[in-house]
Amino acid sequence: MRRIALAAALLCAGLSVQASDRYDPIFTPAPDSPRAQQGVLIGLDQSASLRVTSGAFGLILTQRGGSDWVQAEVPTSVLLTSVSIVDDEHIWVAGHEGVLLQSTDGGVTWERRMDGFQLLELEFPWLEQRQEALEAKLDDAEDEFEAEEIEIALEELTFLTQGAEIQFDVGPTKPFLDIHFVNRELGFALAAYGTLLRTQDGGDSWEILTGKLDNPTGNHLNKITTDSNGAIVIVGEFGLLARSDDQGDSWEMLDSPYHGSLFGALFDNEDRLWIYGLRGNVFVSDNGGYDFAPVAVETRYNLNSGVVLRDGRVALVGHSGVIAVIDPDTMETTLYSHASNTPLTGIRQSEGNQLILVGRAGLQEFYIPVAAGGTEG
Amino acid sequence: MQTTQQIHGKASLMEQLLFKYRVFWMVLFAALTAFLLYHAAQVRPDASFRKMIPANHEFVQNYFKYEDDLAAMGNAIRVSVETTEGSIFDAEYQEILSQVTDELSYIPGVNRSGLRSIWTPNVRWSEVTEEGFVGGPVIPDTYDGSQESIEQLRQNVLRSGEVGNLVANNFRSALIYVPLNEIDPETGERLDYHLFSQRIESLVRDQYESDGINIQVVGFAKVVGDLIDGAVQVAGFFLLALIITFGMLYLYSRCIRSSFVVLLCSVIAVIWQLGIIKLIGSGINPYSMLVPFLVFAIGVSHGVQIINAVIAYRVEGEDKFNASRLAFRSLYVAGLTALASDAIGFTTLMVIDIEVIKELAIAASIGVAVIVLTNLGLLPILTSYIDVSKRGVNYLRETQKKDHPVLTMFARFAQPNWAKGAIAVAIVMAAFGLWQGQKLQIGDLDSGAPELRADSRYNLDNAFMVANYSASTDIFVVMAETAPGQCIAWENMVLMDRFQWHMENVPGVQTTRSITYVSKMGMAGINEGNNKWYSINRDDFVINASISQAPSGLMNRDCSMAPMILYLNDHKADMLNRVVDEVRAFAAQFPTDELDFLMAAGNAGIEAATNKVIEQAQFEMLLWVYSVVIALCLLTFRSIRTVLCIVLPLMFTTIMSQALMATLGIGVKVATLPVIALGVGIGVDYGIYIYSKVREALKQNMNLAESYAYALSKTGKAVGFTGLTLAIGVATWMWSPIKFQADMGLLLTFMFIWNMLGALILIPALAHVFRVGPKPGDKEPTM
Repeated sequence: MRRIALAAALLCAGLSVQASDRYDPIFTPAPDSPRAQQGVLIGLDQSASLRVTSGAFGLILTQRGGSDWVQAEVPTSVLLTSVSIVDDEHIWVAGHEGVLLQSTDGGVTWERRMDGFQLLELEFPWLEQRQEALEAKLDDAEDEFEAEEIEIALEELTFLTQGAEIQFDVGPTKPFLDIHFVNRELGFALAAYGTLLRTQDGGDSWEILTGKLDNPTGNHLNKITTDSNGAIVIVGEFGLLARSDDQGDSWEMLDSPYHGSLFGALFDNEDRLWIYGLRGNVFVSDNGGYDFAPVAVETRYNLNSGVVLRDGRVALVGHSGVIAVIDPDTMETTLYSHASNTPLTGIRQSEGNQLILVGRAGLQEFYIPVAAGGTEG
Repeated sequence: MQTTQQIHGKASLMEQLLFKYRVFWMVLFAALTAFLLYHAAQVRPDASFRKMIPANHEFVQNYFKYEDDLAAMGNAIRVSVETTEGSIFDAEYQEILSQVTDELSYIPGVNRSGLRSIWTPNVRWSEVTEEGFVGGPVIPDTYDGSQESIEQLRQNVLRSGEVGNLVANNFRSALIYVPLNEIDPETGERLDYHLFSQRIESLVRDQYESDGINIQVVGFAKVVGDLIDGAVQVAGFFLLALIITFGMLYLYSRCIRSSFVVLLCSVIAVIWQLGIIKLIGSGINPYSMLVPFLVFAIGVSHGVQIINAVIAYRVEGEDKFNASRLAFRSLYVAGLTALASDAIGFTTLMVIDIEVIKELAIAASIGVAVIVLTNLGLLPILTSYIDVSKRGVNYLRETQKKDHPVLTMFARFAQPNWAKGAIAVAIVMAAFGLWQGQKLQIGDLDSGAPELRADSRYNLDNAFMVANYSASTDIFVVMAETAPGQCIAWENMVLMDRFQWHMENVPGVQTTRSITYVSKMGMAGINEGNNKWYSINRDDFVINASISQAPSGLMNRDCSMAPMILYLNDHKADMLNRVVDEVRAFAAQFPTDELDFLMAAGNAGIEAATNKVIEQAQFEMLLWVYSVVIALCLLTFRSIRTVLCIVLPLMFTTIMSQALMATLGIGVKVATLPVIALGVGIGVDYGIYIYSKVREALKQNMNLAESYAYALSKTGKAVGFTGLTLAIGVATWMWSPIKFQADMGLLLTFMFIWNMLGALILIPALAHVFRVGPKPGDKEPTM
């Protein structure tokens, strides 16, 4: 308890680090990179008129209509892991070391809306409050059973506190792994070690929802997605699967069909929930995540990201250039291998049967072969 | 035998000593020759890497500082076994690959524990599963050559991450990575590259190559081996030069006896030069191998003058003793001056701070000094005994009577119209040469091992490697130097990481590798292969965990240096300059006391240093060699106009040879830079010979045209002959299997012939334009 307070007090001193001459990727603008398209690109999102990808060294590339990709001016150099396009102007990007970026001009300029030091500032009081609340609850505990539960919760909190204290020493280490804005106001940011943030005012203020998920060991939260009715699903490490039907106020932990890590989740056009992850594991649920059926995808490579194609099929990408296209009606799966043979981390459909892919080897294209006599959507 | 002791004129002390004790000198020369021949026979060509690089350049000093730490990734050869049909996933192929791997591990000099191929147990596959990492050797423990185990092997290879590394991208060949021990850990002996290279040929290539199997070998040790092999072949060219020169001597003198004596003395000069080099502990390297050829050629050209004079005095009726003695007397001053200018010209090469060039300069200076003894001293003694043949005397008597048509042609250039024409043509050519010379580049311009020819076996093998495997063979290493233990601290790693991205954005840099790459891969690995973690973590403990699987060589033992390897498209000067500039620009952009970006190691890094030294030395050397030549000419002729007449043709040759280099795509490099100095140093001889005769004639109040005709009649033939002998001595090099020797041969041949023509045509033309000689109505020559 006292340690937290001490740490919080010293945090101001810690913040002065950014003012020194030492190179800190959080505060150093991204380098102008002629080879940005061959860089490590992880995040990818698109709207009707705009496509945005993000990656290592603060790389953000935007493409409007059919024009060329343009590197944006970005005020940070951390690895940017995720992109969420809200509308034609508003875009959010999440990255390592607690960095959140926002653009309000369609991706031309970017503002740092959060960094890891600010995230720590947010987390320390939260940890403090939570500890106080739990300790008060422990005093008021009615029976031994309740007391034991609270003690376990306190122990779990110690784990998070320790993580925060390490960051206080070495600087912010916590990466954001996914970001998703439902609209201009409501957005979620997922981070490592079970951290979940929500904003309801377009990023002006953030609240910590971490405690609302039953995730005692602090498993990473890898991906968040929403269905057409506003239900929200999060997947993460060790098969973590959580659902909220009230915009994040409360979360239900669902029985996972898989104990390995889940890297992605998406709702298809019929609101079926697809979850996928380690070693080619794919599962599909007809009822929003309560029951799953395995999908036979004949690959042992990790599946990292996915998209619903215009013809309703689901396309997933993963390591070693693997691309799996699944027909939800027949569950028929076709596997392709991208020539780059490198890990793919993002996929969107472009014109016709063209796919835009990103990954460790940068921007890639792929054309889904059109089956002989078949039609293509 | 009767000799006349009294001859007219005054004999110098040197002449008296030489001719009084002829027997003593002969015995002494014979004894010394035998002694030095014994030592010369032990000279072996060596190609020490250290000697070929500018040892005092900052880059090289940095490299030396961490040489041992870098050795793990440096000195290795790569042996590729290619199947011409099917793929490597074939039992028969795998059997051969396994045998070659075994064979290589037993060759002395190979660091067995570092040997890597898909058949060595240190090459493993790994995979993330729900339970964590699993893995094993790429060759299945149960491998038996069956279809199933081949299939298992294929899967292991695919998940090993070795495609493009140990296995070709097209699966038609596989590599064996063979690190070498520079010093044998058991015997303490230095690796004999030549022997090692021969063993690779006989034990691997000869034994396993067949219709279905090709074997490619690349690596520094192989380059050196091939270099020495090539150098040995070049020694054979000496015989060729000897035969051609003998033919020319005979055509010139029509006297077998004197031709033979000139050859003998010149060969003795070469023996002495080699023997002395061995005695002073210096060696012969592929560059200084040129020196015996030069010494021989210079020896012949001076020997010819002596013989020429001896025959001339015989024509005048002197006996063989007096003819020899008079020949010595008339030539020893001129010969000494010319040889001194050669020697001083060579010593200007010492400004180039590269050991092989210094060795070349020393060897050449010794060689020239030796010629003074053999061809100015021994040669006339020998002719005083064995005489010249009657036929030679008669031939000279005949030819003296008639004008030589070629000489008559050259004589015209002292006349106004011809002179102006020649100058005009020369100005146009020089302008063109200067324009073309702008394209002259510093450094090596060809891919692969630039020492060897583009179509050599080595460079074909190298092209194969570049085409089929991912990594380039042009490597530029930047060393990240930190305080001990700090090389993997976050603030250093994160800067190194950004540095590498900065460099990857430089055109021509293909990719980079270092401990940061391993750490980022490790971070993704720790997090189940999730690439959202592909970043340097701020927590040093996490960094430590991320590099637990790091291969050796990516940091030194006390973690004060981590090499960052840049793979380049090529090693041309532009490319290297760009890399060096960008490294400096980055270091300036992110100044820090914690981390120094030290350049440079790797072949391209060393080449960058060599280029810098060459670039700087290029002008310094030209300045020196021209200063020396101008000073010598001023001393001899005491006239600025005369100096201009002699030096301008030399400059013209320099310009034209640079244009030739630019046209042929030959860069200014360790091999070609000395050539320019040699060309100027030797080229000035012609001017000195011709001009001294012109001056002699002008003093006799002849006009310029008459004076020049006189000079030509006296020395024209000798100058022509000298130019041709020098050219032939080095021209044989054009057929050397070593590219830079061929370049040297070509350029020297060009310069010797061009200098000769320049002297014969431009000296009289310039003399006319500068109004050297008697003014109209004034019979006093102005000199």
